[in-house]
Amino acid sequence: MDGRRRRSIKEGFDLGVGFFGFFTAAFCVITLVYEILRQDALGWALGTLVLGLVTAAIWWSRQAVLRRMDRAVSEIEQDR
Amino acid sequence: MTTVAGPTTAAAERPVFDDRAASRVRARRRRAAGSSVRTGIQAALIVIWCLLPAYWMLITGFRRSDTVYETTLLPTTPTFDNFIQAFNPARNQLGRALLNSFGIGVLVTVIALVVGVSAAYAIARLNFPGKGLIMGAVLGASMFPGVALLTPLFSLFTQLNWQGSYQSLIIPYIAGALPLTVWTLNSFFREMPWELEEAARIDGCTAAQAFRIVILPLAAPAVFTTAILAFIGSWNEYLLASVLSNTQTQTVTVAIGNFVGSQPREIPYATTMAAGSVVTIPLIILVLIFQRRIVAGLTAGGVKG
Repeated sequence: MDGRRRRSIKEGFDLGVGFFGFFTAAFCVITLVYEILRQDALGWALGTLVLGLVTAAIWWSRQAVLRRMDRAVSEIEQDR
Repeated sequence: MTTVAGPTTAAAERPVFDDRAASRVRARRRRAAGSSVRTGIQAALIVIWCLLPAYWMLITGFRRSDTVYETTLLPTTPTFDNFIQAFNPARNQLGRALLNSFGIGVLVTVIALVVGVSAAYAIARLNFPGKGLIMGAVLGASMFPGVALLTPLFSLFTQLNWQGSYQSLIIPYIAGALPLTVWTLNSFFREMPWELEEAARIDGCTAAQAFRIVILPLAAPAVFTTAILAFIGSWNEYLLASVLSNTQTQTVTVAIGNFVGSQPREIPYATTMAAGSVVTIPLIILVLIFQRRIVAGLTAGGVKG
């Protein structure tokens, strides 16, 4: 497997994690501020949860894809 | 018995072939001419579509206030009164607002470029973990809706006693310009050949020297493009400026929005249009000066070799 291809796939996943991670952090801060100000923060908290799950899912997919790619590379090398 | 085609037969066939080839060439030329005419008409339509509002703004600026609703292509009684009124300090603050916009725009552009160029270069060239995460976060920051930041920024700057100050405009504008700067320049730096930098390092340059002497001059088209985009973004911004500035620090967009007419409740359309035309001029000059560099910068990084 080409190293450049691996890097580009990794960067794509990292981009997604960074993007959703940013919004997760922003929503988390908003939730905390709402809680401190004793306002209704349920919507923001649920938003944070959903975004956090999406970020975690992308991170998990990234690890799985990279692991599968590495395994395929090592199998090809063993066959040689 | 075999028949051999003599020179007479070949000579008889050649004119037929030549006629066909010539007619094919003529047809191709006709098609090319038709295609260029079509392209010209399409380009003219697009240009008219884009320039018509600007043209209407310009000629409305020259109309008298009692003939502002005229629909003629040229003003029947042209006047410069609206331009004079726009700069009348007793009624409108356009002169000061122009200076404010220009100063804020230049500062925002310079700071965004200094920080953005360094950040984009580091992300494109240096190897460190989490580069993609940073770019994703920058992308997320650029997509954050400005209107959602309005109230928190107002509250923050009021607590800091910055309400109506220049820094209350400059700091959010830089935050808005930085993602654009980093993304544009990052894609450009990634496409630049590494060998140039390596050659400079072999010749004895430090990393900073290689960046300053070799990479930065080559990146000039992209830097200029980004500078123009950052300046235009700052120049045209209205939402934050309408809330975070006062009469001393307001930018042109806010000043034009606050124009007052000669009569109570009169909306000064003609003066507004005249001011709009004046405000467009610096942008046109900037774009005309840097046109070639902008085109080079926009197309650079788009094709992978």
